Amino acid sequence: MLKDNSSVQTPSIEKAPKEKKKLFHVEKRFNMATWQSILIRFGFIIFAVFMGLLVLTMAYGINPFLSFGNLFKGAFGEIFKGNFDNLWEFLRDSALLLGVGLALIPAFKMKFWNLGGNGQIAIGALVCLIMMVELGGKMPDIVVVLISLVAAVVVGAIWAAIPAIFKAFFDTNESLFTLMMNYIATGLVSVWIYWRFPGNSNVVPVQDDGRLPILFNKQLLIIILVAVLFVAILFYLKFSKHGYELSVVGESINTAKYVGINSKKVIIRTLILSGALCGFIGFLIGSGVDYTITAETTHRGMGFTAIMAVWLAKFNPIVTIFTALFITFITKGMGQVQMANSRYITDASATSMVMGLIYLFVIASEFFIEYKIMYNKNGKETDVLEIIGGFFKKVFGPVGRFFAMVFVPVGRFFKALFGTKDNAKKEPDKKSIDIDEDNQANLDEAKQILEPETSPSKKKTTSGRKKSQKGSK
Amino acid sequence: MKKQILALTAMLAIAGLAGCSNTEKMKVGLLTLHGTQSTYDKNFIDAFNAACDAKGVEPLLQSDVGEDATCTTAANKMVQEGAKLIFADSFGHETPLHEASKNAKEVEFCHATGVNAAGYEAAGEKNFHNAFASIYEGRYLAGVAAGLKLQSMLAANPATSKKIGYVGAFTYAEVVSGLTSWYLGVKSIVPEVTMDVKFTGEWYHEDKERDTANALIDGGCSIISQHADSMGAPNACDAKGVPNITYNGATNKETYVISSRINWQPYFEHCIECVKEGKPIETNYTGTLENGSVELGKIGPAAAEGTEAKLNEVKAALKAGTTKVFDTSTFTLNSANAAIEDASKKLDLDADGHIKSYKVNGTEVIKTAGGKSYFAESEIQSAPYFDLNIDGITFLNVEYGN
Amino acid sequence: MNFLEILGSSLPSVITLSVVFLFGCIGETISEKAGNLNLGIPGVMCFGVVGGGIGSLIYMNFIYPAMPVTANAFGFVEFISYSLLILLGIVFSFAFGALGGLIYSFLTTTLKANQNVTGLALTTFGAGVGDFFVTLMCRDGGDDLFEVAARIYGTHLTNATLGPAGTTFDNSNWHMGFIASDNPVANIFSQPSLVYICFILAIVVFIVLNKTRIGLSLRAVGENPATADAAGINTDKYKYMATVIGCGIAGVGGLFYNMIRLQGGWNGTSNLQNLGWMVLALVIFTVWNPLVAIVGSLVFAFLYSIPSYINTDMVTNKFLVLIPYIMTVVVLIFTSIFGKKNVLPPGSLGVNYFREER
Repeated sequence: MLKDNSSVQTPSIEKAPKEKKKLFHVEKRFNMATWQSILIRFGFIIFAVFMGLLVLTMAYGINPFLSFGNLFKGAFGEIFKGNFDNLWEFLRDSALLLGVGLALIPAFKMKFWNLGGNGQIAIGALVCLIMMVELGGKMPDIVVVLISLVAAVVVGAIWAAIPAIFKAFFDTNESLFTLMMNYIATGLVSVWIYWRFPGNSNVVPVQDDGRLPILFNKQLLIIILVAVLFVAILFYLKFSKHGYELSVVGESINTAKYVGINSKKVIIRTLILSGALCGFIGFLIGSGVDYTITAETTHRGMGFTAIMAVWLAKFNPIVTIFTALFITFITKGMGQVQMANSRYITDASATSMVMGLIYLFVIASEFFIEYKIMYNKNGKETDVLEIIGGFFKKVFGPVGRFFAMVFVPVGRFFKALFGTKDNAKKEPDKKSIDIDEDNQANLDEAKQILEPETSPSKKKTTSGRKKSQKGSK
Repeated sequence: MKKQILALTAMLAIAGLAGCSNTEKMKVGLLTLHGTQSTYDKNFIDAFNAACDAKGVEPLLQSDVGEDATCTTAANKMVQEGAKLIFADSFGHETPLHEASKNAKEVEFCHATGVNAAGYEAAGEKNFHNAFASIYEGRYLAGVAAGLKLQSMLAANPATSKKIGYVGAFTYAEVVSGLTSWYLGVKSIVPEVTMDVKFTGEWYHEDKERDTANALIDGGCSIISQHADSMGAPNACDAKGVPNITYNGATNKETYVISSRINWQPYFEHCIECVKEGKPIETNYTGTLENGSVELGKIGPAAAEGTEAKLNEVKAALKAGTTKVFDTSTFTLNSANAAIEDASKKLDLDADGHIKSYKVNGTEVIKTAGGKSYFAESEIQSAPYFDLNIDGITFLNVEYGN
Repeated sequence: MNFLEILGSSLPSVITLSVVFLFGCIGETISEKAGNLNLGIPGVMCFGVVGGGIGSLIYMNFIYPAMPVTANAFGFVEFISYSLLILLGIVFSFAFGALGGLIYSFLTTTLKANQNVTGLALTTFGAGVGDFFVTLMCRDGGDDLFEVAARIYGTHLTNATLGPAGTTFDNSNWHMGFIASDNPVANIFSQPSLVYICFILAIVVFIVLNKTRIGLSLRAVGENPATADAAGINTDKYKYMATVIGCGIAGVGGLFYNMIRLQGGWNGTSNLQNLGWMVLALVIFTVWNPLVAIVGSLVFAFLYSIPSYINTDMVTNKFLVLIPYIMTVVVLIFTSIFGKKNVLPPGSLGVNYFREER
């Protein structure tokens, strides 16, 4: 039984243990418009944020609306006063997170759970700093920078390749292997710091030489480099043979074999890429942000947060831009909330709590996008979410309509100014609800077989393919 | 409906951005390495909040600020928020904090435990300062209390080992100064005492500190003290029934003798006042016993009889200057430890091994006052610089001089 | 110190650390045997600390003041009362840990979410909750109550003298669960009751997993859920049960960590989180076998602690710290190359099961 023969999708009819009563039952959802799924996710996120802020209110009496405002202040800062520093840092940190996400996407698409991002970043930053310390000042800066870059990328690649080789040949569990490599990497950083700077309280002096060149400001070059990386990875995944091969290996190793793909080679190659990119991010941090290194904080935990970012984006690089921005936004925002309430919040626990809550809620929201809970009242079945939506409409309708009166003309003005694409549908396609579900399912399946790129929802495509592999072991 | 929700969110966002806090109070910031989980940072945070309350200013705190670019970012954020005074509490914060200070000349930056302020000032920068306190006096007093305890243990059981133990974090001057002053305090009561020191290599690591303390205890140490930020060593002492002198926080355990700590509140209040009145802040500020910057914790259940009286006596002598902690007549160095490789340091011993002269970068740090010759700790620079391995102290797990 | 001396000196500390590991390991083993790779174990243990704190505070605020306290006495009243505290602590920490497990199960088994992502989210959330609520509880005197409660948790069964804070201490009294005597062997056998509970639990779990019907079904679900489902086993129910109970046990590990390892002196989740990640490694190290886990966690804890007992220079010291992790990697590699069936991970570990359409 192969481990990666997972997720055979199925409409689970009266199967989930929670919905036993005939009052509710669960059905698979079809034809959810994109805006609806975004709205549901967004709604869950807002709910999670307010829940988290509410806990703060109950514990310390902090005003939740002020906190909500502080969330925005955290990322954007004083842009109304013309100070864009915060915004630049926000964009740069999002870019770094995006970079790590781009490193992880190929591995995850291949169903290789690379939990070693932190360690790969750390080891990349380590060799970068070693180069900066030993060679800085003795050679022109740009040479040091290039050497650091190459070294970081190579070592990062090796760091990820080791677990990959064992996975490829012996099916060693990669989650735990990469996790352990994290500890070994940060441990090695610690060893070097102490060996190289013994009496210095575990602090590596900030390096003046070997820094990444400054283009207008500290952040711009990093953002540009990540943007270039983004285009490269997008191209790699969508249009290159490698990209196709790795997703086939992700689907099923047997299928890959039948198609003539050497899955061992693909696994190792993909992880080399993954580690190399993480190493690159480590290089960016070492020579472009900190100019120093610490054992615990250099990777900023991005190896883990990037997992959330790419998962939220369903491993789509373009969507990852937005999830990375969002996660960075919330993190900075909660930092601001903490600072604004310094008497009460004296550590980073509130931030972790709210982030964790958001993650859990978004994970849960996936279910509501895949399936709908039908509420059976007097023989008439309605979607539970529609009931909730109707309730919100009644309560917030007037308020929202008031603000909409103000902002919609403004929005239209900007739209006219910049001429954006017209949004396809404003209301969900009412017709689809009336069609008999079985027929709809057949219709959709036929559609995907004929036009795989234009099927209404990508999920159906994958499940369709999987159904045909039911027989394989 | 989606438009309405978006509109609502936009409104809230703008409300937040347009500035929610519009108090008239002056704002003061603090950057700490960890949060209140670490006793070191808790010490700073509590003092900070108390000082801000006392002076009627608004506190801005950012915890878990790393010793890297996040420190610069955090400081910049506080400057944006309108802070007029920013503190930072960890050694590695100095350079990133200084980066921020270069771009905010009208804001005062005060860095505890740092060493570069004098250099920055010489280069013409007026807004970056260092601070520390004469904690060595606090440790000396704690050592006296430990000495009295050891004396009473010897009286009860003459076979008690005359060795004490110390759990240190790093091998540099700040830690060495602390452990030496503690040792000298014990030595002033029990002259034949020796000390074993083990280093953990980290400021804060519960398990390592506990195990290091265990190793010291089972290596024959009768009393344990520490310069590390968790409760690992006090817990170990409690489990083994060994008297314990803590740092930065008293405990309720029965093995607790006394603790010493730096009270940052006087310094914070002093700086706030200076900023309010437009007076300059010292480049190198050293808090003393006098102004309350060095404090002893409560005397614990394990302390010997008469500790309080003796401590008051020694405290008065320290304040008056009649007793010097690093009195050169009280300690010697052997020739091995006196051979310092660092060319910027020049050490001269007399025939018995007492220090005659010690020059660091050309500056003489041995001074004479009231007929006593002593190592002038924290007088030339606020952060400690006593880094010698004196006789009687054994560094167990490092080749000293690395 | 020579090796035997090091062993004797480190053993009390190693035992407490190993029990923290063992609770977590037993819990995660149960969960993984049913196919759920719960990366949220560090967060779940933090939940357990919160639960343990609540249970202890309930006791300290309502029951302890009502007790007639005689210094150094340990009579029937004390025995019942202190047992009540331990029971309260276990119940609440188990409940909170189980809550974490319930969240995980709901998201992965019912909502079919990805296990890795759910686990990481749970860890982030749990760590934040742990820090936040325990700090909240410690404000206004909670930490003093914890210290007293910790002394009670540390009572062990063989020596029945207890000295509440304030009595003069004397080397011949037991202290915090360990007799401060010169005989290290005697020290080994006087442990807080939770330690014995843990060892017994390991044995019981092993028996249930390997010798009972329920255990067989659970393992079947973990190995090959499709086959188990076809044989009529309710895979969802077993996955839920395994994770909820497993996380509950890990939660008790959090209680043990705070009350006995830290002796009530809570100071942040970061260390517990590190230990939690090591629990995941330990499960592999002990090849998913609770009996091996008893020995394995001792070995692991020993490897983790030993660098502090050796007098090497600092750089070597920092290298030695890596040993537990390297050993885990070695075990991982070995078991995957040479492993027989009973040392391999459960077949469907980390993968959700979707029942195929009938």
